[in-house]
Amino acid sequence: MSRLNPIKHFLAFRELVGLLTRHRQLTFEMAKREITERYSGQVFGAFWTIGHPLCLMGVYVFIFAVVFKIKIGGTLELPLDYTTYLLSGLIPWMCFQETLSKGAGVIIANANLVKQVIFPIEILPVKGVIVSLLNLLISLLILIIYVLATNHSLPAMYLMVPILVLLQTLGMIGASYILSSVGVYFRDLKDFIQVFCMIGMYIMPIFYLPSQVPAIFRFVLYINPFSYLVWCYQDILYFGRIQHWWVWAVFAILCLGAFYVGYRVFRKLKTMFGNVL
Amino acid sequence: MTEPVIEIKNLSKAYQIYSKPSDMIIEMITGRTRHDLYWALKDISFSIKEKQRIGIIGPNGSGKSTLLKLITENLTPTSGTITVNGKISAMLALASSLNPEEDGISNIRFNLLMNGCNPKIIPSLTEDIIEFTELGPFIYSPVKTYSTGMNARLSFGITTAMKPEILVVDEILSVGDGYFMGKAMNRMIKLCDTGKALIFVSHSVSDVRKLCDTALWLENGSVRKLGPVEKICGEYEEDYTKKRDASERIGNREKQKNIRIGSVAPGSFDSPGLQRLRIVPEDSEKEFSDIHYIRNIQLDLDDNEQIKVPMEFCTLSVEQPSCLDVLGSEWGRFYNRHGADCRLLFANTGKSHGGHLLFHPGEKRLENKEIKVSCSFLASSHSDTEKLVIEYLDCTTVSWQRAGECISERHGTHWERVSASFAMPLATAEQIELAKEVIAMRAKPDVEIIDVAIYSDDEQAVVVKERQPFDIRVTIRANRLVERADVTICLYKSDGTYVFWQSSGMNPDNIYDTSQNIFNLEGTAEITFRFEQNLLNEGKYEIHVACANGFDITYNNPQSEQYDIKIGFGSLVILKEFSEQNMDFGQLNMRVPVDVYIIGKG
Repeated sequence: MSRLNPIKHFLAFRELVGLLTRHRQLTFEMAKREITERYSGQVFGAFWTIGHPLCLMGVYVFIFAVVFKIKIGGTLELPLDYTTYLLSGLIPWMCFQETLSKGAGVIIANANLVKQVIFPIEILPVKGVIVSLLNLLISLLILIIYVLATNHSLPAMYLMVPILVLLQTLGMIGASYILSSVGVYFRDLKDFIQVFCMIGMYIMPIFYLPSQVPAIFRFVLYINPFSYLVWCYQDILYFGRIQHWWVWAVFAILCLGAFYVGYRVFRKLKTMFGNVL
Repeated sequence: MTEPVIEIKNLSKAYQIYSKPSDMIIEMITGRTRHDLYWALKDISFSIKEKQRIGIIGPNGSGKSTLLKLITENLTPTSGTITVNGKISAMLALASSLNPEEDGISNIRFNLLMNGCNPKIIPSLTEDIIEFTELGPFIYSPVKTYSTGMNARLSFGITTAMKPEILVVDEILSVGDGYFMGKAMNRMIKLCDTGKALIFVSHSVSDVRKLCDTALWLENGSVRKLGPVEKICGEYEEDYTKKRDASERIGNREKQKNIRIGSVAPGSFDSPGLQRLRIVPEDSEKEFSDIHYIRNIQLDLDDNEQIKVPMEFCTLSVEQPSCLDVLGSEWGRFYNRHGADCRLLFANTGKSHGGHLLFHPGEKRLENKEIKVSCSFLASSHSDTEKLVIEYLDCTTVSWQRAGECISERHGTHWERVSASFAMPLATAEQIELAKEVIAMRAKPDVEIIDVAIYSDDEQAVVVKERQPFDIRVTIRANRLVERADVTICLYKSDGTYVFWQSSGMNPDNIYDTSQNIFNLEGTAEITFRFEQNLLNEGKYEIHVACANGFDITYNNPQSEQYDIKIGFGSLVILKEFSEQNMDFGQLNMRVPVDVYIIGKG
């Protein structure tokens, strides 16, 4: 019965939150270090953290909205333009995929810290999430500016964004924990993740509407957990209304589940890190 | 009685060794073991009391760093427990957490945070660190511009800044200069006085001597010795210096090797009734050229008693009539290969040749003249090129004998069974006494250092006053006729600093004069180093003495063959005599006259 005891599960949750608040200074310092370290000695420095996603977003908008001239929007069903539709799915996914690819290698990359320094290594996967979140917020800001410029007003639903970001953060931390700890033992994982990140964009409804997909292939969208992430963001940023409550429920369960399972897996595997690294 | 700061009970640590990474995945999926186990530490127990400063010494790969990482919880033990009462701060490797791109200040801040420091006291600690490390303007430069020594200073400053209760330092400080080294040592001692304990790992025995009060000697993953620092370090140095010397001197090497393979170690017959077998390569002239894994050693005595020899480290008793000589012969670590417990066996300088095993045939059988023995074991090796055979120690002739015909046959996919049946002569009490004498005679070096004494005003003394003349008299004895001999003395201060050195083949004008060597020595000789002008400062000095076959720095050092070496044979105490502050001469760069008096045989 103890497996199902909710209090015990809640304690594990509280433990992690306690750990992160206690070491919040260090966590932020590490995140800051990651940004400065990656681009130190370069002329544009930290600009590149937003430079990369900005360029990618620009290319996609140019190809799909300008070259292919895909036009949707202007109706009650589809209130805003195609660029907004594209960006509202692309932005959360780019943030998530950055976490995934970084998470798989974070323990291996910091092997010397894990082996030689006494410090809470639970922080390592979290710092990557913080860096990705920074990008997410900047990209969202750009989107908001774009919507304001084209639509001259913001849908009221935009107030829900913090809740989504919070849920996504939990999901990202969980995924990061799972990938980082499993990645230590199974080093090919980071290549699997890289391939998945490359094709992932096309197997979720970012560039197209789910209704445009032939019915026999549509199940792919539903079994991809990241589709729910995209749908939730589109609900708020593009449609301005919650289309399906169950999508939100699935998303919330996925994020909380990943967070909980991730922490448990990490806790279990971390004792053996020193032996494998 | 206060409770120990660190208590370690039956601690073992095994590393899993996979021949390829995919083995790990297959093992995870199928649940079948596909790895070997390397026992880096096996069954270690000791405790560290409050205010104790413990130094861990031992050759490379003896398990020192593994032990430290287990104490700091960077590794988890395979079995056994570690109880730590107190907050640990560790310096396990140089600059592992320093970011080369950032300057010293931000690295200090970051590392303090990482060690769990309260952000409020960071500014004051940072000031302490800057002052202590004396990096000056470098503190504002990126760490990548630092030299190795500066890196060590910064790492050490950060590690010790937070006044940890238990300080753990691995071999890293040696890169710093002497001045900083001294400063760091003072700080470590002070920290230990205010805190709880210090654990220090170093290859430099003199550093351990200066810093620690207790020494732990690790070898082959087990505790070889634990005790007061002077005693243990002395023994370690004796062992280590001898080994190093044997391997470095070309003159010694060939001779030593041949002696080692055929020799019977002193002490082989010390316990009555004990019989000794060994596993050696088939080519009796050669050392092991491969790494062997040995397990499942079985003995059958007179066809009616089976004994299984345990692969673990153990001692003999009535219930346990057989064991491996793990410390004295070439046995390596406890290991797990292809899923079976075994022990490594490979060439190891400084130890008796082969893998020895001891057994007691029982009082009843000792009455007979000989004993029928069947011995078998399973072996596996890396390249499968070297065959193994069994030899027994024949006490009637005091030599190793091939145990009949050794049969090798395959046993499963990975192992080979080696077995031999032979009759082994049992010695009478008189024969054993004789054998002991033979061994003792053989074990004696060509020339032995018998005595080192200090004489002042023709009276033997240990304590000499400042400026008072004295002699150091070394007595040597040639057990066999030697063509040439030369005696060298070395004085070290008790803190390990070198002070004085002279060879008897060196005249007072500091010129190497090989004609001063002792020629055709037979029997005893006395060599006197006359310190007519005593410039040594007050303090305790250790005397190291060596005897070699001539000393000629340009032609044959260190090729000369060393007969005997004694580390810390005698000690000399210089008493303070003058009240005014004396000038400290430090290293004495002078020579003293030497007298040689041949006493001869008898």
